[in-house]
Amino acid sequence: MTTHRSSWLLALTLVACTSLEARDATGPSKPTPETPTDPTGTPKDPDTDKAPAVAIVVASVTLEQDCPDPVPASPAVVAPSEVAPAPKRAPSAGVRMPPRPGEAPSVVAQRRACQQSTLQLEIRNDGKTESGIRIASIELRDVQSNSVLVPVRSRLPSAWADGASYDQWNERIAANTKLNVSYRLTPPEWHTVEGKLGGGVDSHGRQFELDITVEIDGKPVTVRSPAFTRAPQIIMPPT
Amino acid sequence: MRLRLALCTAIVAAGSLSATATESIATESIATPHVATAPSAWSDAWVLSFTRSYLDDDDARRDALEQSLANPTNLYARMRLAAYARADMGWDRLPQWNPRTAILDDADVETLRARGLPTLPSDANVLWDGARPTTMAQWVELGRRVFFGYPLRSELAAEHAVTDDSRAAEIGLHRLGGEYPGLVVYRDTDGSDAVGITCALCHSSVVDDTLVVGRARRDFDFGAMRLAWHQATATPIDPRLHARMASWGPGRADITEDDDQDPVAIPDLWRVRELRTLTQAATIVHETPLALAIRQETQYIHAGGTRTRPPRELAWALAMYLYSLDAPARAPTTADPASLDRGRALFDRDCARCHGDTNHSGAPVDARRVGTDPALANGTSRGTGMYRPAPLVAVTDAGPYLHDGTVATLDFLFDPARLHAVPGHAYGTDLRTDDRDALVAFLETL
Repeated sequence: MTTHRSSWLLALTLVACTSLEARDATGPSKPTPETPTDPTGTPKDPDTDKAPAVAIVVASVTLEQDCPDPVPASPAVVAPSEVAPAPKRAPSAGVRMPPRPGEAPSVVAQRRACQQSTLQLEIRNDGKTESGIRIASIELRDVQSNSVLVPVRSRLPSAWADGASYDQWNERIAANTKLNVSYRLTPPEWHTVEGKLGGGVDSHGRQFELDITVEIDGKPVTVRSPAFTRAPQIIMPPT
Repeated sequence: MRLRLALCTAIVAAGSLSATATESIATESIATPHVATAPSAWSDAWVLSFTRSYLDDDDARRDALEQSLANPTNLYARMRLAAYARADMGWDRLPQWNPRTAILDDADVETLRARGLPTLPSDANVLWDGARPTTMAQWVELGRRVFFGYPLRSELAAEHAVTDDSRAAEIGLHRLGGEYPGLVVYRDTDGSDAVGITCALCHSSVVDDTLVVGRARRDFDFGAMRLAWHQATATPIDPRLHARMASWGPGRADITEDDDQDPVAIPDLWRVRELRTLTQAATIVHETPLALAIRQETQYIHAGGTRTRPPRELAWALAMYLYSLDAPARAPTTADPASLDRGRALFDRDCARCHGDTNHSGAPVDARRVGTDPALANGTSRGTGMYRPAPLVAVTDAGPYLHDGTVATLDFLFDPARLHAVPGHAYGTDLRTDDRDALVAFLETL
């Protein structure tokens, strides 16, 4: 480990900005001419050539199902960015098993086992004033062909609070603050994705990325997610 | 904080660490430069010397991840290479979650029956107090709390099953002293209370009113539990998934992150530190404890839907706890000494080539050579083209055998007639009956 660290420090000295990409065996996200992105989430302002006060990094993406939204506890806080209409629910492509004789449907049935698709961001505001955040658009990209496939919709922003839970968030970040935030995602129509990938291509096991364009106080910034795969066709608890 | 006295007092986990030894080994002292001799590999001191690398050195974690992935192109590896220990993005940027959690007990089940919803007891505290352990004994104790208390995810099917005593027993939800090891009630990351599953659900068993930690729960029927929930709630289920779950039976489940049909037998977790590869498909090269800690950390991240990550102290503690687990002491054999000698000689001649490590595992073997169902070894999720020779710790109690649990007994494993029903791993099937008996007698001593 010591040898490795020494080598690493040397490498940092020589090629400070490229070393992180070089050690990623999967080939981390690289900006493309058609979609200028900075994976570090700290793009420079073209007017001033200075890093803006607010930096955004994509922590994770999970594309599984779309679940019913929780009933809000209070209407007091309303997210200013897009509040999507009622999402399409995961298709109930299956058969119902009849209850065992004498067994009434359980109250547990009122709650569905559902794995919500989500996007997690880390947002840091090093500035001296509060900033507003709004997701303007999200695009699903195919890593292998480096092509944009379909848009993805987000809703219900929430922020990690008190080290315990994601609570409703108004998409404002105070000065000198770091937030971990989460958005619900409506997964794409996968048959459309597969159509764009080409005939006969199975989207399972393929690697995708999201390009997320975020407006920070009205200025758009695009950040890219780590590569991810869609959930298996038959969802089982991962271990 | 609600205590789990039954679990604290009834656990039988012989453990490779004596109290004296573990108390004397402090994390802080290991890293000091004046230590004259390097600790031997996989000793407690050697293991603890990696603590700071894992907890505080991002580059070391990334390096260890890359070195630990036997096949960097399978789904398991690609997911982690894309998101773990990256400076520019990824899972390191997730919030740490230290959940409020309590082992599910009879009172919680009564609440479930009455309300239809779980309720976290008001005295349930966060799992970890935030103090980083400094000795192996402290790490092991924290790891025990993680093993029993940190939820991998909520599980409505378990919540449903546990409210019916006969169904719970039938499915393999064990109960001891009014508590259900492997099930917790906890405050989830959306603020709701939930019943969750932990490591202990699959890797601990109540045997003769004693909890044996690390023992695969061979009567736990995960598929039947899920199907019972679908039936009771009239929740639609994909017919393919229905058929698949119904085919597993007790002690088996398909837990890989793909659509391949490659169920595995739940493994015992004994003498893990002696394993040089992890998972039946040898997915992870286990050359340092960072490999296991990263495995545990990323398992929690993935199982939780990548919304949070556990504090690394908890993943490290869990690894230390797993390293402490050993099989309960075995009764002295009553076999004829001559037969044992003959069995040992046969083992050395025919088995030790593959099962030659101290815990009788060994280097991965090409799946084509093993000849058993190659689905797991060649699977898109964790496949490496290889199978790890099973460790043979308390092997006579470790059935069903083979990676997928398709052979019920050792006698059947070595029965040449078995090859017609379950092909592969033909080793030993050509032995004479008396030699086969001698080999089994020797295996009973392992």
